[in-house]
Amino acid sequence: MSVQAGPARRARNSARVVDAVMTLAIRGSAVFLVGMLAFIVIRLILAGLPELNLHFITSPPKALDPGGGIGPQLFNSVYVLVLSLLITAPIGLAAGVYLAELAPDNRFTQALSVATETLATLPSIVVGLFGLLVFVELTHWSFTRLGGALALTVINLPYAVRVTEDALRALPDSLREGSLGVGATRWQTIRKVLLPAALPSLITGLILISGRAFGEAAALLYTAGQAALRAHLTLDPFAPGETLAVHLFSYRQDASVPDVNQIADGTAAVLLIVVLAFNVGARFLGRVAVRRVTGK
Amino acid sequence: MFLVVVLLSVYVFVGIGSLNIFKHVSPWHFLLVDQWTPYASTNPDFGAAGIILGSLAVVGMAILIATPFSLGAALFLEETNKQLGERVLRPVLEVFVGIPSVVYGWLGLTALVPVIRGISHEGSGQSLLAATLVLSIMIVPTVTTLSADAIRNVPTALAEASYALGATRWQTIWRTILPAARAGITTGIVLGIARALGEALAVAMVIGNIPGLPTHLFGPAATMTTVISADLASRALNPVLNDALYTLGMLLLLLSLALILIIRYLSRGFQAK
Repeated sequence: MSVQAGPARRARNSARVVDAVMTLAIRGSAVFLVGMLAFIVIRLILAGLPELNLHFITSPPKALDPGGGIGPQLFNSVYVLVLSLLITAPIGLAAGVYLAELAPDNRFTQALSVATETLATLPSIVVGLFGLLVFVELTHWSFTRLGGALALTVINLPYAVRVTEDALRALPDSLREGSLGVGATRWQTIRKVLLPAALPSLITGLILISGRAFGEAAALLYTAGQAALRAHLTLDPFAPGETLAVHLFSYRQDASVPDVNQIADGTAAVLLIVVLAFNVGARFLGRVAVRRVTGK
Repeated sequence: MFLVVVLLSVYVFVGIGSLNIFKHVSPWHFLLVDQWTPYASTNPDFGAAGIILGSLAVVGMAILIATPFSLGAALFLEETNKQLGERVLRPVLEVFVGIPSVVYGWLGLTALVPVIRGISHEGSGQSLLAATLVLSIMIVPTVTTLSADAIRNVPTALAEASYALGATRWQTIWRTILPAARAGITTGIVLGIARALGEALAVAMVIGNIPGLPTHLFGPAATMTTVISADLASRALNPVLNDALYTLGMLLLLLSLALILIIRYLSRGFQAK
C-alpha cells in the first residue's frame, strides 16, 4: 500500500478537495439564509421603531396631514381573523376528524384529499377574484369584513383540515383501542379521548394558521376593501374593513400624507412583530405540550 | 363535501368570468399577442403574451436562484450539521414562511430597489430583477423543507454502503443521496414554482407593473398576478378589462392545477418504486 498509483491518488485527492468545497457551500447557504433573516428582521424593526408608540397603533389614519395611525386597521385585522376562524375551525375540525377517523379509504375520500390539496395551492389573488364575484357582488354586500373573513376561510380551510387530520393520525392506535376496548362508542372515543390528546397540536396549528391569515392581503384587497379612511371601530360585520396588511399595500398609492413612508415602515414593523409573536407562541405551546405528554 | 363545493365554485365562478373576454379577442390573440392597451379610447387590445411571459420569466429565474440555496440548506439540515440545523436553521425557515408577503414587498421596495437603481442608473429600480430576488427568498423555505424531508427518507443503508466503499461525503450526497431523493426534491421545486406563480402583492410592489415582453433585467415588467391586483380597482369603469383579468385568473388556476397533477404523478411514481 505504500506505493500508490499516481492517478488513483490524484483522483482521491481531488475528491477530497471537491468534498471540502461542497461542504463549505452547504454551510455557506445555511449561514446566508440565517444572515438574510437577521438582516430582514433588524432592518424592518429599526425602520419602524421611531413610529411605534401608543398613538400610532391606536389612532386612525389621516387623509392629508402627517401623524395618522393604524388603529382601525389593526382592529380590522384582528376582527376579520377572528370572524374567519369562527367559520374555519368547526368546519376544518369536522372535515379533519372525518378524514382521519371515520372515512373509508375509497375514491370519494381520495377525491376529497385531492380537493384539499388543490385548495391549498390556490393563488390568493384568485381567491380574491372569486370573493369579489361571490361575497361582494352576488350577495350585494359591497366590501365587507364578513366578505373578507369568508375569503380568508377559503384560504385557511385546507390548512385547518390538514392540521386536524395530521394531529389525529399522529396519535397512537393504543389510545383508540383502549377506549373502544372499555366499551366506548366511536363518537365517545373521538370526543373524550382523541380530541383532548390532540389538543396541543390543534392549538399550535391554529396559531400558525392565524399568523398566516394575519398577513394575508391579496385575497382581502377586493373583498374587505381598501378604504383606509372608512375603517371605523365598529363590530358590524357588514362594514368595510381594511386590514393592516392591505393598508401596507394600498395606503402608499392612495394617500397624500407627507409621512406615508414612515407610516408604511411602522405598519411593516407591527405586522412583523405580530407574526413573530404568533410563531414564538406556537413554538412555546408546542414545547409545553410535549413536556406534558412525555412527563419531562 | 363542503370543501369540494368551495373548490368547484371557485373554478366555476372564475371560469365563467374568464370566458367573456373572448367576445372581444380570440383565445389565440389573448395568449400569443403582446399588445396590452386596455385603457386605449379606440380599439383597446388585450394580447396578454407579454404578461404571461413576465410571470414565466420571474418564476423561472426565481426557482433557478432558490433551488441551489434550498438544496444547500436541506443538506445542512439532514447531512452536515443536523443538531445546529434543527436548533437554528429550521426555526429560521419557519419565520421566513410566516413573514407576510406585503412585508417582503415593502422590504424589497425600500432595501433592494434602491440598490438596483444605483447599479443600473436607469428608471426607478422597480424591475424584473427585483421581483425575481424577492420571490427567490420567499420560496426557499418551501423547497428546503420538502427537499429535507426527501433526503431524510433516504434509507441510511444507502449512505452507509457508499461510505463503506470509501466515498467522500460529497460523493455520497451527489451520487447516492440526491438521486435517491430525486422525486421528493422535484416535488419541492414544483411546489415552489406554484407558490411563486401565485404570489401577487410582493411582486406587485417591486416589479413596476408595466405590461410588455420582459426583455431587460433592470427594466419593469408585469405578471398575471400584478396586473390583476392593480387593475381590478377599475372594474366598474372598464368591464372588458375586468373580463380579461378573470381570464388571467383562470389561466393561473389552470397552471397551478397542472402543477398539482405533476406533484401527484411524481409521488405516485415514487411509491411504485
